Amino acid sequence: MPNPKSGPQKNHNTKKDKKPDDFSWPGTDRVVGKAQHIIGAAVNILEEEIAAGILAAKNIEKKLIDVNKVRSDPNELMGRIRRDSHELLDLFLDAFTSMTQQMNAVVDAVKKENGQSATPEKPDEPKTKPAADVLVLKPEQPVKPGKMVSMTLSLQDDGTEKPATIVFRKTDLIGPGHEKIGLRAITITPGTLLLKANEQKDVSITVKVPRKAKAGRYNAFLSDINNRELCILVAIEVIE
Amino acid sequence: MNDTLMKNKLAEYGAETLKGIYAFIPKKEPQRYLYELISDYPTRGGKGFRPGLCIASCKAFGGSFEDAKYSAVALEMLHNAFLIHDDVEDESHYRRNRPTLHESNNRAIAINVGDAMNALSLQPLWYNRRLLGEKLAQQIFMEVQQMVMDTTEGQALELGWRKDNRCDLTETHYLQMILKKTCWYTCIRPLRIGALIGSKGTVDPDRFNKLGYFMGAAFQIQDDILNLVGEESAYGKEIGGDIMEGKRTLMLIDLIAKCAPTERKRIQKFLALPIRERTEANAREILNWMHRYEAITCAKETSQYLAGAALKEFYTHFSSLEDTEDKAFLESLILYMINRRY
Repeated sequence: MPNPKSGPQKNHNTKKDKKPDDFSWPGTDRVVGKAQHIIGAAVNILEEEIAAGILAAKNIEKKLIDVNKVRSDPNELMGRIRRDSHELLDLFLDAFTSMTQQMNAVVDAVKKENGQSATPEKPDEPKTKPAADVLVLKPEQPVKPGKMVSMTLSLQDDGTEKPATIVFRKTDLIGPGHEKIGLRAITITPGTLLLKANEQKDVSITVKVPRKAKAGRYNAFLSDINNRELCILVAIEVIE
Repeated sequence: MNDTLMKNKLAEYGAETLKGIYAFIPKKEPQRYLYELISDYPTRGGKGFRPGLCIASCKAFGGSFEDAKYSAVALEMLHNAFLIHDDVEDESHYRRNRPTLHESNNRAIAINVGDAMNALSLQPLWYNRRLLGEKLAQQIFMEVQQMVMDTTEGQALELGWRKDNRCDLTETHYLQMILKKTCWYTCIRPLRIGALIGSKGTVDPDRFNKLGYFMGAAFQIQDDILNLVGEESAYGKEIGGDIMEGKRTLMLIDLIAKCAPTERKRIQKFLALPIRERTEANAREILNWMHRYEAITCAKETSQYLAGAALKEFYTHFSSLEDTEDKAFLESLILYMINRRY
């Protein structure tokens, strides 16, 4: 607190005892002393505050992460990173599975509302039906691990636009829990095709189920990289 | 001293920041009791001190206005959110020559608008990722997060003092409180953030702690003095309002330390009353004592010493930089505080 009765005032008084020729600007010592006092106090406060902040941050870090333990064991650190990455991937896959399951439910509901059978009549020629903007391709029979299943997709150009080049893109087949069948198990023939106005062409989609695949329902998306409207859901059921 | 440069730069950066704030306000309902009110305080003509410091610091360290724009918007949004909540907490009547938001609406609406502004300020910080890259954007986010925490800690200190009617405070308590409540968010963090952006994260932001602290403390003390001796129209708030609110200013702390025991008792009694029950006559009496015991003169000197120390820090850390308008602007802000006449 600026206080004329405190330290700096004392310094000022001592000047009075000096000889007249000992020239100094009146009040200079008081000003300097007071300024030094204020700045010194402020610097101390700032340093204490920063130190307290660092300590608090370290305590929080210590509570949240056992930093020393992790730092001392690089393998544990890498393991943690891997675990975290896997958890992130699992979260993504779960979200994807959930999304495809919900989409299937919507598709089934639409089918029921339209009075259509949920499963195609001919086992080898599964029907493709538009539901919202998604075509569902699904064999009637479940498939066993190690076996193959084929489906045929008929595509017809609507004749309103120029000839269309269709280039298929596929995703993994996502199954129950964290199960998945890699996208290489899906073969699309032909992978690229040109559809002229009003032309119709068939596309064969084959899924080879790996021997170690677990039972459950698996879904994959096929889409055309040139046309976002074309989206096909391949749904297969694997049984033991 | 170049007051014109200072005023022009503050006006220029303030106007650009205001445009940025508008851009982030959602154009949807509810307008009347939320989104329209968000722009209320920012359009009342504040000084634009914080965005000005941030942008100038960024440019002085080689960055551009564009680089600092989102951070400046976030700082100004947070500042206005603080003001809204501060006015409620302090039961203030006026802000920048107009009724405070809780007076023109009500407390509930004002608190909600402040909450929305706090949340809205996160958006420009999120946009920093695109502008500055992940690493620097994260660093700035943490600067802002810490800044908000420090400010609330400082506010808690002061509110606690008022609740407990503390009359034993010293200059050290005051300096601790304003470091937390004002300096971090008014000067230290805007300078640090600007320099980090301008230097692309290469500068050590701790270099600016003392400069920002000295500047911020000088600024706060001078603002408190203006509340006592300024002209109401220029200051924008009721003169002597801080005394009515029981705000523990340097002048009040100094007065309590210097005055006679009977006067101290009267001050204590005044401060123990709820704000609405305090009379202007008593506040005027305290103001007179502040003059008589030279508490205001001492505070003016203290602010000048702090501004002088800020200037020394400024030269230490900015002298090596190229001479630019923005560097001159920062210098002029400090010189203005040193030479200020009330």
